[in-house]
Amino acid sequence: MTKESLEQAVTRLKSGDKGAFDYIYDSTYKVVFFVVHSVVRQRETAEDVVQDVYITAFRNMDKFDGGNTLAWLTTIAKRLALNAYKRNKREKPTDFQTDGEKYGSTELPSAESMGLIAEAEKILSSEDFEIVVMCAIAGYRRREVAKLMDMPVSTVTHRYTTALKKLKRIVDGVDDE
Amino acid sequence: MMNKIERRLKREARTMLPDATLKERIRSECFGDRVFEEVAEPALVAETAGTTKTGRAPLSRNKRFAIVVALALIVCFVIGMSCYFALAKVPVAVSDTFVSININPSFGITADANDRVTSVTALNEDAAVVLYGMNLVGLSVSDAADRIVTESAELGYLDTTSTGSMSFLAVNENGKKETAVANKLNLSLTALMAKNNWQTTVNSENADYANNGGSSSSYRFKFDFGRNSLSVGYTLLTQRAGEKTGQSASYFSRFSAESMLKLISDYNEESMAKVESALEQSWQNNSQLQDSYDKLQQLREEHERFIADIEAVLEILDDSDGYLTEEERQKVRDLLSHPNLNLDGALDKLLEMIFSFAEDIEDAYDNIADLLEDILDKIEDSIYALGSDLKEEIDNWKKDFLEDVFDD
Repeated sequence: MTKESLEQAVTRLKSGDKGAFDYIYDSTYKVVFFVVHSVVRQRETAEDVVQDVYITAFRNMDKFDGGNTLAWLTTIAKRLALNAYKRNKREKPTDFQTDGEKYGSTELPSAESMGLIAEAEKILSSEDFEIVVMCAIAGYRRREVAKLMDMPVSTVTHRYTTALKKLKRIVDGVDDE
Repeated sequence: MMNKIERRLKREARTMLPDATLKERIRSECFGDRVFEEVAEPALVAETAGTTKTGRAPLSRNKRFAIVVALALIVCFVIGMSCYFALAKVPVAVSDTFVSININPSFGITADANDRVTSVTALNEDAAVVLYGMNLVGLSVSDAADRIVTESAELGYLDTTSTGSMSFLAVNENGKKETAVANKLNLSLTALMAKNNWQTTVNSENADYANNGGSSSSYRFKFDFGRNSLSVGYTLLTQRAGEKTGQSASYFSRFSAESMLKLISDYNEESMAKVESALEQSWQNNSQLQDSYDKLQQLREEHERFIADIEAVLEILDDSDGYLTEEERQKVRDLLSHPNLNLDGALDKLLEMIFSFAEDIEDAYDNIADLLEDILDKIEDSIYALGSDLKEEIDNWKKDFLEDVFDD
């Protein structure tokens, strides 16, 4: 699951090989989903946005210059997720404090009730959260993440372990209570 | 504990991630209903099945006759087309390319379909001296030709003044491929001359032949009906072989390019073996050269080992979850204890930082990376310096060999 092979798959898709779609989707959807989810904070909305992300990406494939595919998808994902978040807020004005579960919330409950991923979304910077998703959930190797995010492996390792330590402190805190 | 956190994240993620239907929705939106198109409507399937089983009326005699005639015509058409395509001018598959370089010495290069050198043949004794110790297999044809020409120039074979000239001929059964190789070679050799400020003229025999109105011949295949033709390279070789032996050019149409070139160049296997044996003997007797060569090999091995060590340590740090086993720690320790690093007193502190995955380790990693790169640069500089010296020594030895052997 490397940047190079993703780019090769994009090239194949551009040249009409629809079989490359599976590879691109399977390699990226976990990261794209959680990037979107970290903004909209609601599973159903996140799924709809993920669908829009891939449709937008594949329909504009010709405009893609063949650079970092995952970065391109996450950029589209962030933009569409933010639009969806704003739209939800505008269309369905609600009290997030009381109806947060339904529409997404800025004030999240504890790790115990909302889960560790929600805590990670809340306490980590978006870059650190992406690193955690790529390493721990999507199964990318740290060297691959370093390539994808254009940063040294040591930086990725440091930020990843620091992020996990932060999450560990939350888990320990919940366990202690 | 870190693994526990990762496992928990993964477990949670599994419950949140979209299932396969989302993927199919996207596929359907982007590429149409491809996945469903093979599933026919059940009612339609039943209807169609019923028609084929029970609705067929018996054929009349006339209809049967018409079908038989139609089938016979189809068979005739297929056979006719097969014969046409078998005998007509069909594209010739891209096979090995043979390139002959003539500086006097003369060389033959064989390359695969990707233009990678698979073998190099010395076509005369001088060429055997030039090629001795050179490993050109795996290089591109252009790179190999550049090296051969450079080495020939260094040994004084190539006249680098404006009166000097050299030629080459590319040969491939596929005319297009042959032209492509010849053009590429022409460009690279012309660039080589310009780079070294040599005035030597480079002659592409393929281009010369075509420019002088020559065209490909048509006697390669016995039953080709004049459609299949020889490439320019083969045409030239068969003509020259014919002139050399007095046989008709068509006689050589089944010969390989290399065998024709050997024939044209008066290649003598026995005298070539003698020269190669004399070269080997002379090399064995030159202990100074052998020492330098061994030293260079050692340095290269050290370089490769060092790179492998760095990669192994990077892998360890990459895959670690904040903890290292004693064996992994030892590998990190060994790498950072490399004498060229000169970490001395700082080593223990650095190791402690790495093993504890300290917060401020990032700066330390950057410093280590810089130091390791410096060491690699130093080793590479040493290899280059030693390699250049050795090259000069080998060239001098070859020159002495040429004087001793050929003057005798």
